[in-house]
Amino acid sequence: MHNEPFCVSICDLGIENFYNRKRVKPSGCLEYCFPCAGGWCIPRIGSIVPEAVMLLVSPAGCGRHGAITSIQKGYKNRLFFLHMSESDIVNGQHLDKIFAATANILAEVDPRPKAMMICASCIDDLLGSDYEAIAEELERKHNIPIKACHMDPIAMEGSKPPVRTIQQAIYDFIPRASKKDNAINIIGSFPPLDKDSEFKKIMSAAGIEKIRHIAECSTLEEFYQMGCSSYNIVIKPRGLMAAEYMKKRLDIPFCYAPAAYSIETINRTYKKLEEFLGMKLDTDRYSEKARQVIDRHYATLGPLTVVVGEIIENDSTYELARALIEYGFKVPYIIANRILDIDLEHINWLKTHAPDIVVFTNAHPSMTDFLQNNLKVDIAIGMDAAYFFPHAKPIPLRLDTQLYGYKGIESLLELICQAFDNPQDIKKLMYGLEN
Amino acid sequence: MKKIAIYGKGGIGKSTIASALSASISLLGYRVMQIGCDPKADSTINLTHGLTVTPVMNYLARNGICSSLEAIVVEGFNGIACVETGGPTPGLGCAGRGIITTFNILDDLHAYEIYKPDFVLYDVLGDVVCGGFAMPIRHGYADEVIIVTSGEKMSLFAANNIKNAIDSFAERKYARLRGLILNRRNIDGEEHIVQEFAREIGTKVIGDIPRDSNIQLYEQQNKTVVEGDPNLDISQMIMKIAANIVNDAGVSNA
Repeated sequence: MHNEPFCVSICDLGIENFYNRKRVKPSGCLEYCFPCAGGWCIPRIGSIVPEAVMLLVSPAGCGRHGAITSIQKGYKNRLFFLHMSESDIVNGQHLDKIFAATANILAEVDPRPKAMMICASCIDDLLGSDYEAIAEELERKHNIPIKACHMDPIAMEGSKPPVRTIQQAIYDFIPRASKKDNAINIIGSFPPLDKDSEFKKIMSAAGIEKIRHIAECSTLEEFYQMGCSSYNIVIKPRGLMAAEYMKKRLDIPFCYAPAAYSIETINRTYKKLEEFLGMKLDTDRYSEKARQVIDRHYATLGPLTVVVGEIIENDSTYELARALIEYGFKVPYIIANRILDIDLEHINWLKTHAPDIVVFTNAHPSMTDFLQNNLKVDIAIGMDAAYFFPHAKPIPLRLDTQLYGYKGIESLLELICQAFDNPQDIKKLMYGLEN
Repeated sequence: MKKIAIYGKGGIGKSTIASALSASISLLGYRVMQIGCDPKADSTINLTHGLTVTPVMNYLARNGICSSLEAIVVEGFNGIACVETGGPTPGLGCAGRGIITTFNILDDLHAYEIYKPDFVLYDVLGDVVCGGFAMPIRHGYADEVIIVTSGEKMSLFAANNIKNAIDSFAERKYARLRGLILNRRNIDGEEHIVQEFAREIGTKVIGDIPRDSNIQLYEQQNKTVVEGDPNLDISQMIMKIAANIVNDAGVSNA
């Protein structure tokens, strides 16, 4: 006998008096960590600062999983560890050791790092350790920029979750520029925009000289040039805190223009960008082309059934579900745990247009038995969806790529076609064995 | 805005003096916020005439999140905004972390922008025993620390400990020691002892408060002595200390 998986109707999400408006999983029960969880951890996000290294100050367990990811993802030479003992925690001695560790790293690493991040764990959050002050002292001592960041899952459900605060810390490296140029920064995503996105062509045609993204900066000096940009475009909600901070400190205004797959949403986003930039953006032909691509693919694929997961690159499961239904596909299931305020628009749309959607959460303990339910759909988008629906053709849509705009729709539909032509093995995807 | 943290040995009279100073500063025409940083949540009891201030930690324990200042701030005597961090049941949890959480919530809810206090007094439990209890003196919070002490040895020991904590953070933009307030216990040679101590640690005595039964009298009525009878000698002394604090702060009450 297995546990029936916990689920709710889409119609029950996002309403007041719902037992937890911000999460699908009810509070007060165990948290399930499903096998595909993880990918872009805090140290990995910090590693996108060019020519910088990170010192992670943590208990051994946190250090271990950080080390394994750094080996898997190729940045192990830029991540250092200072382990905390129980005595350290009680006496706060580990904070003094940070100074010696930093001096050691800067003396031994060749070439000498040009910047550094000191990363605190949950333990130091609980202790109230002032890493920001420590980083300032270290900066004065070593004459390189040093910033504090926090790997604190304990703060994940608060107003300042680590995935947002790390981005604020990253962009805090950028000094204030005396002169601005007619350029845009893309904020919030870890990889740069897909090179085929029409966004660059549209912006260039409107007069924008350059589009900058941190992942395309190979040196710290190049990264600093982001301070010269006149505009920040935030394409993921996780970048909003950083953008607000950059507006205050660097005087760079921002517009939230999320990555999306619905033509209507993308149309509105470009209109919003027009108002923000004060420029006419020529989008009609791209919008029309996307519509034709949708119609063409739908004619070939038919009314596919799709499950949409949470581990997807646009960070909005509900928006993607909406887009797929608008294309003509069916979405009987969603797997999601988080509900952001920006999701409510799409949740409300789904309530009206697809009220039968069943929402599972990847974090409920009943999901340990989920595979025994043997639910079937044609396509599973997102690593979590692919894991829980192993019979479906998987489309990872990982955070390692950043589709954007109308071209994102085309790319997604091509991925769906490829999934039928050349299906991938979910286990190989999970364990990084696909190559 | 001037922010002042008040530290001192447990039971030395910090809350009594902090509340009396808050009342005095408000009577001088300034907007004041007093934040009690103590699980006992009794810092502002003399400012609220017995009205319950829901401690932030208690509110969070019941509701999970706090998204309204009205739920955790009570306007007490003369419009003083009163906040209590509260904390866990004795023997459980972490009170220091409770202070950090409370401060984060006040920041998130823009408490300072909304209440616009000219003066913020942080009334902090006992001693700087961990990172959380150092939070009020961190950059962005208190500009100055006032230590309440008597001439008793253990009280001075605690004061010295607090001074050491402030000194250990000398290279950071943490609060500086403003001075000592002597809250007399009438031990022999008390004034000399405390003046000598102040000289040794490189500070000065900025207030000398004699024992006065009127303080307890009005405390029984859930009032500070300043509110109870501002014309009393003791009230005038406290108001003079407050006036000196205000004058040195350079904050306008326009």
